[in-house]
Amino acid sequence: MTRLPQAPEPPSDAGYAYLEHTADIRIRCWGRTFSELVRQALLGTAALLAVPPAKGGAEKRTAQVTAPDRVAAVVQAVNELLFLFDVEGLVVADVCVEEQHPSGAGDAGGCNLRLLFQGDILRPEEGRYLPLYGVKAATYHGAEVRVTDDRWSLDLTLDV
Amino acid sequence: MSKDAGRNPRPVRLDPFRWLLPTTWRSGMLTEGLIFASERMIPAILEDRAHEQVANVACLPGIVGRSLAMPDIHWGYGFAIGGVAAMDVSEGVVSPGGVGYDINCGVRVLLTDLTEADVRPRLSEFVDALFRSVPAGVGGHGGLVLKEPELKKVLLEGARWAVTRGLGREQDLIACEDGGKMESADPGAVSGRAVKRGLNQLGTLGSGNHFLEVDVVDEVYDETAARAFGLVGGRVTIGIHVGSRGLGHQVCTDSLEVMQRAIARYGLSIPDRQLACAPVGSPEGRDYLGAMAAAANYAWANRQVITDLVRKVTEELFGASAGRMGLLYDVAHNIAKIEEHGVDGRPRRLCVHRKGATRAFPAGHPDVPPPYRHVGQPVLVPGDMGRHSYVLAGAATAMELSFGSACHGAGRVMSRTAAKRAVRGEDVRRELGEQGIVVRGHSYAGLAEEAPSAYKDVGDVVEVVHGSGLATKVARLRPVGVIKG
Repeated sequence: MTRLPQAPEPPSDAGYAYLEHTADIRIRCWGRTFSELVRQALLGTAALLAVPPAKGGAEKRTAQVTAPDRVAAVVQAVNELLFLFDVEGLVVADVCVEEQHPSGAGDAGGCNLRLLFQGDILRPEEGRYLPLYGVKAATYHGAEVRVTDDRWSLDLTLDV
Repeated sequence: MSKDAGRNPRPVRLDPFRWLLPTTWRSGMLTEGLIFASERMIPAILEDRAHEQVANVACLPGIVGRSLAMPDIHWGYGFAIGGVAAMDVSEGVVSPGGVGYDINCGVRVLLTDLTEADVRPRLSEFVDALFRSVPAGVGGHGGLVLKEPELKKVLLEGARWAVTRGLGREQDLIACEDGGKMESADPGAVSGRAVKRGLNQLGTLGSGNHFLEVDVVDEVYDETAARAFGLVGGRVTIGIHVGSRGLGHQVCTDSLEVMQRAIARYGLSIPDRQLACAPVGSPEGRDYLGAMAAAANYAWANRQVITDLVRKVTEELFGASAGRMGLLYDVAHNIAKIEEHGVDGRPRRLCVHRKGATRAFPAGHPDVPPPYRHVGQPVLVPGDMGRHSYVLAGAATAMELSFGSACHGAGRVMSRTAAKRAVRGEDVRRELGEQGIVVRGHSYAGLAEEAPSAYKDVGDVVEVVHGSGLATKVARLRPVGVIKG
């Protein structure tokens, strides 16, 4: 591939897009709910790690995120995905995000997420799949959850 | 980001190489900020807004002296890349953002007896052999596979772990910053997740801007220091640039989460969430420093294992003419250390953060290896793959102005997407080939992102370091072969 992976043509209510950044990669993600925003952040990150399996994949992994606020929840969720890729070679094709005990637009009481990742295992020796970027971590840099007209959005910077 | 961003004046010029951010530059600054740069560099620094991060660091409790930035400054997470700050060990804080995710990312240089004429006829073969032999790329597995108890030994022993297993020599440890091992390492402070990430990545290069590089000593500026360092004009050297891989990244990630909670617990106020911190002497601070030191030891072991691979490849191809392939030096450029420095005429124990900055101790300093003590510590400054790298020697002025610190490299000026729009990886490889530089990488996209045009000219950076007296130029190295991770 010779460019950042093309973000899929999003439905107007959910999606992600890559933004210019001098040294690293920045993802703008959005959705009608906070859970969808997190899902888009995860999908956008997953697409940077490796070309995902076309048909979902048989591997499933769950993770739990307990964070003091929603920005921390997004950062931790993405770092969960990075851990699974690094340790197990999990190439994520899709993810289900459930916010537990949702608290509306505010952060009082923290933020708990249950994540269900679906994908396949990276097997470069078999030509499955093509690794792309080495992402070190999701950062807090400039990350702010915004809610306007029922649209949740956030710009997330990844250290590459 | 600073709440005063965009409304503040330029830094104040103190001299041709130093620019000041006064304490009035933004609210909350406890000390001044000082950027080492030439006038020509200032517009790019202002556009990048990295100077705001220098001002942010100046707000951290217990900071001693100024918040500093080296001339390769560019935007980072928490600290700017090129940032240096020293904190009082009793009253100050330690911040993972002042070290970075790639703990002890660093560089080492191996010496050979080979000349360019020796390697030129087999250069492609040599670079290909290095490319095949040193695992690299995203995921970057293929390294040594360790069980957890053995990994814990790596975290404690650092480069010595590899040397005692036949993957190096005692001389390698003498020529390595801190002997390749921080005594303060605490493997118990490293999370299970970080351990898992480190189990099969030892001896791997990773990706991004990590590399192996075959260079030729192109020019010698200081004959005395060059002789002490073993640098001879026309001889081949080999550089290795890599850090602590996934283990280090996880230590930083874990620590940032702990520090987020510590901020509230200790009533700290910080201008940037990535500067999350805790008092140096607190349980959180001690745990971070212990885990960081363990990750630093992993990085030194990593570079030592790769050194062994490089030596084997070189000796197999060139035999005895390669010589002993001694280690010139190994420097860390993302690290925090407890050091003693003179402040206002008295010695003080400080926690010195260097993020994208290199220690640069002068002649006579007891931490400089004996063979170099009369000239100063080697400071290794790699350039991009099309331009020179430099070897400098630490100078006394660095102890006065920068807590014994200097620059670490060049720094990006162009985003990855912009770089890939501007050039194709195939063209980068071809054009460098036309300059006599053989390049191998794991993807053409990666080569495009790492194109020379995406980086500052490290020569400009080195001129500032030399001109300001932080370190003095010893030799310039010209690349002839590059392996990109």
